[in-house]
Amino acid sequence: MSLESTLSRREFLRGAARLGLTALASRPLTALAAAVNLPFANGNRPLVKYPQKRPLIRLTTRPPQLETPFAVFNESVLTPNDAFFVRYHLSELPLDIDAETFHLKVSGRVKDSVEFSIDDLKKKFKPVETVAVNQCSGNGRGFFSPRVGGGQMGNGAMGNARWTGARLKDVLEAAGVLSGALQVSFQGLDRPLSEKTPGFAKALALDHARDGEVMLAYAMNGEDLPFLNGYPLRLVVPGYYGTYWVKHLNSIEVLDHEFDGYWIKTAYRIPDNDCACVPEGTKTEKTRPIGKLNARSFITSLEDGARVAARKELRVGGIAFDGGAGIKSVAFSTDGGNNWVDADLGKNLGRYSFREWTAAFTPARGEQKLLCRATSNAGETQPLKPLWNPTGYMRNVVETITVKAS
Amino acid sequence: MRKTLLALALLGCGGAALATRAPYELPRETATFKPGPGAELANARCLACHSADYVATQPPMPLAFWKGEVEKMRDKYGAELPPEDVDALAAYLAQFYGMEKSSSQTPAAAAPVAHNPDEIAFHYGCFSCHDTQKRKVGPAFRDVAAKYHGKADGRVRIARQIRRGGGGQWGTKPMPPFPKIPKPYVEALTDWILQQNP
Repeated sequence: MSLESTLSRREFLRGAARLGLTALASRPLTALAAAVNLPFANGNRPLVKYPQKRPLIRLTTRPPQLETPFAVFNESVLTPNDAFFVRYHLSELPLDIDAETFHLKVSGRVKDSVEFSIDDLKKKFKPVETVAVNQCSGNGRGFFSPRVGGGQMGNGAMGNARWTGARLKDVLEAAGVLSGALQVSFQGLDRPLSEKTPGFAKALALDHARDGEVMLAYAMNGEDLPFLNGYPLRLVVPGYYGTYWVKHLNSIEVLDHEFDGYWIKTAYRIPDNDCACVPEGTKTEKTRPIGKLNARSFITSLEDGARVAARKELRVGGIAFDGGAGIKSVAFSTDGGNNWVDADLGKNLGRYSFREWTAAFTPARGEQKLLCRATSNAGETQPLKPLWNPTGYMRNVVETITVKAS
Repeated sequence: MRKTLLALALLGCGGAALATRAPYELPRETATFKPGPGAELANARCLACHSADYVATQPPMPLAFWKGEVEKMRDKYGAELPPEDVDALAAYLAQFYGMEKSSSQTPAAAAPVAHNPDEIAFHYGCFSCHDTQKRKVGPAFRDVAAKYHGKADGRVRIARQIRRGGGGQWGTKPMPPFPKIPKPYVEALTDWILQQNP
């Protein structure tokens, strides 16, 4: 492509900064950059525009995987629908879904197998709203050292949205769960090309499925879900990694046994220990399915390598989140982690949401290493050294950026 | 409902509602495997299920990693991979996308001894993406035959498509090139495809 120009992230951001802070939105991305360099080996990626989306960082074409440019997280606490990341597993997407004829089927260990249209779900069940983070299990995999195979993303495979839908609990109640039910499985309309490839299905324990928080979402930030985020219906599992948030959800089955599908039994597994980690470069002996998000925090108002004014107070902003305990505090350091101060927390949008934070400091001339570290209401915090596992899941090391003050 | 949508569209505010009814259009696929010894194996064995950027975005990794990936695709995801192709494919991937500077393996599998066109098609992985009767990743051979049947340059164009690859005529997914298929086999495949005309 002759039009494609390679522009490093830093160069792009300098350009964007000249256009003013609001210019970090979609327009300059379209106008200026056709590629970004994620800061790890082989991290060059094209920025590609898909229908209903602004240009996003493309990891793969078929099935599509698109990452959110990190500057978006400084735009608003809710990630705009057109910038929300995309991750599919199977190549055959239901491109011609018609929301009018679409039906969700609930079957298995229920009194009656029932089908609901989107209209039924909207009218027969009380709509509920949750602000929740959806994060890919492998978000930040590209930063693993030693490197591991799999989708090589920076930190943009996450997003925070206001989800609207019906409680899964209410829908299961309407179908009438029978005794002996143990788990609930979920499958969407995306399919593999080959019959030999396992279809993408996931499952939750019955108690989890009926906790009143797991949701069948038909709206995202007040609008229909974008096609690539699961239109017209997706599962929302607050506090859990995105792998459970089945897209284009059209089949729910109540099971009287433990689900044994590939995507839980074999894939998406983590070391079965407290840290979900093993020594670098080693194998995992015993594994369990991945579950809740761990605590993370990011500086979003400054990019690594940014130039700032010395001896002038600077307010730094960012986000923090965890798997549902909620954020208790965010510590901020300007000297590489020797001294920490408590950041000011922003508005609380719920315990599954990004929590914004800010902290002020006056940079001395020269290089400053800025760090942030979240602590949850459950007392969980982020490790200072990265934890490692062979599948590249659950990265949550304290992130560091360097700024130059002059 | 259709009338309502039409009315909304005429009022200039139904764009979003209408957009949900039209099929979603994915951008054209442009990623291709790097040319070199063994590229045809990657084209034949990998591209049915995923685009080449799945490979191209991996970090630089050793041969053992690539062999593991190839075996995972066969064992867990059902990729059709004859045993003789596993090492050769891993060698190609390690050389062009990994840490190996050059390949110590014999790259592509030897040409088939078969002269039966559908065995040749099977050997080169044509059936990964094509079926004789129905559309798969690429068009059905009977549809290709119907398009070129009776055209003066039909044979030349099909043969060129096999050897050089192409894209744009049948959807968003490109056909990879297979320049190493021996000419007599390309001719046999071309004639065989044209015979699928319904």
